[in-house]
Amino acid sequence: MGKLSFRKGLLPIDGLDFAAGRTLVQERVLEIYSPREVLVPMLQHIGTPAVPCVAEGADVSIGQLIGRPSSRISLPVHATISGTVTAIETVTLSNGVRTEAVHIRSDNKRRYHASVARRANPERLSPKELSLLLLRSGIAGMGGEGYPAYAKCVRAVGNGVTRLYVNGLSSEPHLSCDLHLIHEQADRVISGALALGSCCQVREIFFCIQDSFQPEIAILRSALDRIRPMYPDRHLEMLVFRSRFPQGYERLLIRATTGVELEDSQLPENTVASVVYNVSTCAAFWDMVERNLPSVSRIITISDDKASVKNVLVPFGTLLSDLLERTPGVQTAHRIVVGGALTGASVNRLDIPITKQTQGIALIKEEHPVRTPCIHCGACVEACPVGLLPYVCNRLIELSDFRALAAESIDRCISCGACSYVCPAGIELSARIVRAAHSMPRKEPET
Amino acid sequence: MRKLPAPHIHKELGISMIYPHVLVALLPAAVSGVYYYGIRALLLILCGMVSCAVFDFLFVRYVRKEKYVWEASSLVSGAILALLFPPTVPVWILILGAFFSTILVKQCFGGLGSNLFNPAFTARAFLSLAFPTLTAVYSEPTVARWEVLSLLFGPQQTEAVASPGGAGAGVLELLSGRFAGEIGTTCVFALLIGAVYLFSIGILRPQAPLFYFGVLGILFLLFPGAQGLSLGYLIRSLAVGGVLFAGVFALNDYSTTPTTPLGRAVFGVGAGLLTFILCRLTTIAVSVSFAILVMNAVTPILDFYIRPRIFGSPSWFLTPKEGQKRKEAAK
Repeated sequence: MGKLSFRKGLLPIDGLDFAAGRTLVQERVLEIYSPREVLVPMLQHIGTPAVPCVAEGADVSIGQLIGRPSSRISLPVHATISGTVTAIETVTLSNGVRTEAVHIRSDNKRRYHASVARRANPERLSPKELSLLLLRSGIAGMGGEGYPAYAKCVRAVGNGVTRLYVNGLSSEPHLSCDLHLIHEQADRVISGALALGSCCQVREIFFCIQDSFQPEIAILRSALDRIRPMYPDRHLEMLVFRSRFPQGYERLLIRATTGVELEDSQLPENTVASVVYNVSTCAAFWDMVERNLPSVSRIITISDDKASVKNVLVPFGTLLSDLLERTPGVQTAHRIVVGGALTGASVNRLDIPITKQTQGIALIKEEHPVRTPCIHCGACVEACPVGLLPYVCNRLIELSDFRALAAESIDRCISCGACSYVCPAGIELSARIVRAAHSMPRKEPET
Repeated sequence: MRKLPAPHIHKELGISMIYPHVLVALLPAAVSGVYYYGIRALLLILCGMVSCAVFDFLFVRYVRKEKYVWEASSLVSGAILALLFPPTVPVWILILGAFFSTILVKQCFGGLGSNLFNPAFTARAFLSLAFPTLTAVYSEPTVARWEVLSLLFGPQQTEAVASPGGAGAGVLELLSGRFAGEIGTTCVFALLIGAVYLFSIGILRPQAPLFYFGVLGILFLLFPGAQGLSLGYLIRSLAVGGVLFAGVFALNDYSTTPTTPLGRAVFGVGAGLLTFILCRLTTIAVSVSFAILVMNAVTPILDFYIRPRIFGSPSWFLTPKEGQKRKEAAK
C-alpha cells in the first residue's frame, strides 16, 4: 500500500526537518516538570468555561475537581498539582481569551486525590461507562483544537461512525510530543484508542503516522501485532503517510485516507462516518480508564527555529515564566511562541498558563526576513493546501476589494502559514489573509 | 518580545538569494562566451550589468524618490541582455538596451515583480527591429579574441559572417557552441550546467522549459524542412538562436510567467508553437524573443483562468460562468 498524502503543502525540500523530532525522542528521556505554583484556567477548551467549585484556602490534590462544567459543551477542570488554593483570579491565555483561573501553591508532595486509583478490570467497562469516564476526565482535543473529547464522541455515536483515526501525524514538523508518546508508550496509546473506539462504538481503528519516523513505525507495528489477537472483533491497522506539512489537519487527513474533501460545513462524522482523535487524547483517556486520573498534564515540546529541543511533561496551569526559567535561549529569543513555530501564537509576556491545547513552545532566534516586493513567483500558490492564490488575495487586501476577496474563497483558508513560510519576499500572506477573512462578515452587510 | 503573526520560521531562499543564484547559473554561459569571443564579450557583459544597475538605481532614487533596496535582479537582466547579442554589437546598443529594459519595460510598469514583459528579451526584440543590420552580424569564434574596435564602431567588415552559422559543424562543435552565434546562447554544455544548478536549489521550475523543449523537439522532428533529419539538425535547432537559453532563463522568469504549474506548462507549449511558426517564417534569432513576448502578454490571462482547484470544490477551472456564480454567492 502506498503512502498516503494530500496535494501541495510543504515538503522536506522546503527546508523543514521532519525527522528532527525522531532523534530527540530516541536520545532524550521525557523530563517531568514540577512547578511551585499553577494557575489553572477554567476555559481550556472550545465551549463555555467551567465554574470554580473550590474556595480560597482549600487544600487540593492531583485529580480533584476544581471546576464544574457549566453547559453541555463544557468540561470539568481538575487540580493539576497538590497544594493550597491561594486565589481565584482572571487570566489572559495565549490566544487572547480571558477566563477565570484557580491559583494553587504547591506543597511539593504530589499527592493524588482519593478517587485516583487503579481500576480492577478496565477492559470490561461498557461503552456507556466509558463515555461517562470520557466526560469526567475533562479531556479536550489535545492536537491543539481543544474540542471536548466527550462532545466529539456524542457526535460520532449520533452519526453512526464506523472508523476511528488516531492522529499521530505531528501537526508541525518540530512538535514531537505525539511522537514521544508513540515511542515510549505505544501500548498506552493503543489501549486508549481501543477504549475510545468502544466509546464511539467503532470497530475499525487506524493509527496514522509519518514515513520519516521509521523506528516509531516499527514500535507501533510490533505493539499492534501484540495487541491485535486480544481483540479479535476489532480491526486495528497502521497507515503510513508521506511527511508533509500540514498533514496533521483533520480535513487533510480525511482527504489522504478516503479521498473525500470536506466542505467547511461538513464534518468527518456526518460525511465519511469517521472520527479523528489525537494520539495524546488517546493516551490521556487511558489514564482515566486505567487509574481514574483525569486530564491534568500533557507532554509539550520546547523547540527553536530548526528543531525540537526537549519534551517535558507539564501540569496544566504551569506558567511559561516558570517552565522556561532554566531553558537556555529565552533571553536571546526574538519571539516566544506558544504552539509550533509555524502556526503558534507569539506572546509578549510570560505570565501565561499552559493549557490542554498547548502542544509546545518555540523560542525563535532569527529575525523575520526583509520585506521586498512580490515577484509573482507562485511559491505560495504551490504551497497552499486548499488551493487559494495567496498573492492575489494579498493584492486584493491592499486594494480593500472585499467582494473580489470573497470570490477568491479566502474563507477557506486554514491558516496553516505555508504561504508565508515559502514567500521569498517575506510577505506575511497568511496573517493578512486570516485577518481579512475574519473581517469579512462585518464588511459585507453594506452590499 | 512582541506579538507577531505566525509563521515564525521561513524558508531560507529569499529574493536576496534567488538573483545571485541566477547570476551564478549564468556564469558558465558567460565564460563560454568570453572564451570564444574574447575581451569584447567580457566588456559587453560587464557593460550590460553595470548600465542596468545604474539605470535601476537612478530611476528609483531620482524619479520615484524612494530608498533603493539592493537586489541583484538588475544585474541578472543586464547579463542576460548582453548574452543575447552577437559579439560584434557596439557598446552604445547595449546601453540603449539597458535603458529600454530597465526603465521602459521594468520600472515604468512598477519595478521588480510588476513588469509584464521580460526586460532583457523585450529589449533584444526592440533593438533587432530598430537596428536590424547592427545586431545581426555574427563572428566566427576564437578568431578575433583581442578585437575591441567593434565595441565603438560596430562590426568590422573583415571578420563578419552574415548569419548565425553552425551549418557545417559537427555534433561536438554544436554542443560546445563552437560556431558563429550570440555571446552566451550557443554552448549547450554551459547552459545545461546552469539549468541543473538552478534546478538543484529549487529556483528552476521545470514545467515551462520541459514543455517548451518537448513541443519544439516534436515539431522539428515532424517538419525537418529542407535540411533533412539528422542529430546535428536537432542540436542546431536547440542551440542556434537561443532556444535553450530562453528555455532556461526566460521561461523561468518569475514575474513574467504564470504562477501555477499548469499555467507554466501551457506557457511552454504556446511559446514552443510560436517559436516554431516564427522561425519557419523569419530568422530564428528574433523568433524566440517574439514568442516569449507574446506569451508574456498572455500570462495574466493564463493566471486568471488556470488556477488551483479549491479544496472540496468539484471543478478544476474557474470558467467565467462559475466565476460569476462565485461573485454572486459572495454578494
